[in-house]
Amino acid sequence: MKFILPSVTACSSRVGYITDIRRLPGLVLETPQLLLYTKGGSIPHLTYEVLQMVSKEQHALHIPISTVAHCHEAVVAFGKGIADFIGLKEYLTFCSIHDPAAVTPHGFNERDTVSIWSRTGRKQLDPDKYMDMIEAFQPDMYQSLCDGDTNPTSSKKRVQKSINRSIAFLEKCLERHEKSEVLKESAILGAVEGGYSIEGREDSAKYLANSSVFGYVIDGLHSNGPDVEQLTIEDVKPVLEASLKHLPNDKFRVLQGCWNPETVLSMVELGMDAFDSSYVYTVTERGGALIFQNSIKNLDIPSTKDGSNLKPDTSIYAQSSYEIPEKKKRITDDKQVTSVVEEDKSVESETQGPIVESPEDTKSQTTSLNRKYEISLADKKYAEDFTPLSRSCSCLTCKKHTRAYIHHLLQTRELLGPVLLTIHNLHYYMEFFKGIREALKSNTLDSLRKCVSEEKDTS
Amino acid sequence: MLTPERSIEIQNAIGADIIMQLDDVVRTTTVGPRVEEAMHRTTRWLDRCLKAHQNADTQNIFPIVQGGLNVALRSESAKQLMQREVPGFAIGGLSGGESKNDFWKMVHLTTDLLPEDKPRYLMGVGFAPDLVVCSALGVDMFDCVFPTRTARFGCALIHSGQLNLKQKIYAKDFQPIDEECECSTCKRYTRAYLHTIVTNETVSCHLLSVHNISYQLRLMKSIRKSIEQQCFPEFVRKFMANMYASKEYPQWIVDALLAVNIHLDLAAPIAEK
Repeated sequence: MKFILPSVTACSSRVGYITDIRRLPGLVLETPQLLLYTKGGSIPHLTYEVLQMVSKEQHALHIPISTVAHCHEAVVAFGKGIADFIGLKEYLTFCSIHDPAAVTPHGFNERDTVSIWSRTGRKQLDPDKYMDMIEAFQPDMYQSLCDGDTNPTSSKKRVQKSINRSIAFLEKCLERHEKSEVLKESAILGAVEGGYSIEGREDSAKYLANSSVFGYVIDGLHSNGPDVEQLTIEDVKPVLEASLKHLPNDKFRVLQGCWNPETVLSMVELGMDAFDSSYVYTVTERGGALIFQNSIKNLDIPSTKDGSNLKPDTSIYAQSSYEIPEKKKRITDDKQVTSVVEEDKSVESETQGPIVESPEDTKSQTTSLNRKYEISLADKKYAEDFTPLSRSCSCLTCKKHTRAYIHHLLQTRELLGPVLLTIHNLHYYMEFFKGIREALKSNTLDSLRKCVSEEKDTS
Repeated sequence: MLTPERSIEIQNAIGADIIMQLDDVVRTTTVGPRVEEAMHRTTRWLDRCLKAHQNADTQNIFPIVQGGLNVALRSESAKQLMQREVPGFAIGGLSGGESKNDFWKMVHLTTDLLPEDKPRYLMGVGFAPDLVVCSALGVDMFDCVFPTRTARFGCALIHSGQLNLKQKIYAKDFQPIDEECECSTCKRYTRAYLHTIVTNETVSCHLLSVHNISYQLRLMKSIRKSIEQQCFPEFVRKFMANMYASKEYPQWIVDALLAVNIHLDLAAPIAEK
């Protein structure tokens, strides 16, 4: 596997690509790249088939070990690695430690172990246990075990521990990596720690600069979870720059977490190469649809090759002669009395299925900051809005469906709601990353930033 | 509360190709005058629905035969509904908590009464054996939440019954749900992986729903093909042998098939389920 930077520029941002992956010949992954966040080995709500409707290109999957730890035994028995086990062997796999979409609790790491929270509860991983899992999963790329339990308020002691322990873990992981037959083609990334201490960051980076890793994960900036969206570049710029200062320019850099689009842009400017798409997941889970301007192209609807309009066919709604007599009544409130007869008693009760969270549950998480990039489809004002989620989006959801329909699906807790939202949000975010790469190549990142930060008319 | 007129108004707005009358349906276990009341009311409501129906040219309205488990009442219901000019008939009020023995007899009775040249739609059925038996009894259309609901709970449908993929026995089972199934789930996903995600990731609901619906559609296709090729009884025998490996067929299935001249290969005496 190679990470190639075609040109050296004066500024810190860069375009590059990952190639020469023996397992996936011909795969070229341009950077800055969006690693597709997975949970339990699947992109939330998307089967392989539906993923093809979002994008037919080859991508990289972001697989947090904590979300697949319960598969360890099975994957060992399977013998062919995680990519094949989860039915996605055409995709590059990147294993991280924690789930970026879920808060990692503080204070559970010890001198020789890091705690992860898996399906079956808290697990303490030492480098050997961790590498046992990595050897079973055989990811194309993975990060070394590290202690990133630091935040802006961490004590000096905690920061120092995170640096020292991560160094010790890296040494052990490298040892196992180099001995391993199955990981011969895999790339290992080292983690830059140091919390919010400039000096700590520089020490950590200096150490890593001398190690034989493929690249770096800039770790220890947050404890994961949806609140990472609230972080701005001002919060992290000093320590990010300090992390990058002493790292060789030509190695791959990953930054994980649910960062918001503007912060992502700023971090690209500082020189980051890859992010995960957990933000797409957290937006979807609260019933949000991304509508920020994700490219420099203007908002005119481009016509498709066959001339068909990108707007959904709303003429079918015009045919209906039904009018809601009172605004308060909703058809879905009426009980179905037509003969939908009762099920055979041997069918298990409804409560055993997976829980689809109602948008109301997570409403409190939306603040004025992230309203900017998205619209909240649970809001009643969309009940009769027959326009697409985004007029400038060419995804399946925007071509075929309306805001009113998505709103209805969320109200009735239909599984299709999150599916259509994910199709849109993931497509939208992938387009954002395409826009980033284009802007870098054409030196128009500033224009892109202006577009992204604009307050969108959400009506 | 839903009135016949309101129900039709809503269905006219929704625009479905086939719409249902509003019927008065009672639990199959109900006895007494309530059953007859519901039967007569269903007929009156049919007339109100037909009157309120705005789109007779584009939307087909089906009445729903009621009458519970009472031979006289069900016959009367069918006769009354048949006096109206309608494009097809639904058989309702069954597939609740009644015994299968009562269930098949009512289906058989109703299909004998309903006209030959209009579709018969049995509502709320169902399980694969029920689909086969009721096809034998002359039913043309079915609907059921079962395949997708059971998918959401982690159960996959196969020719010999069901796989409850939550069970640990599938943790290291690297076959697809069904080797011969050509659905997108079986082409790519193993039982072992599905075992790790059922009831935990919504993707499992989708993957199993696709498979289960594919299974049911293939089943109906096989039924049609065997009827066309004049080997339906053979198909039924084979299907039942696969489903009930020890040839311990439920009595009601044996009886129902016998009523339409299909004989299963019997092994030992059977117990009523």
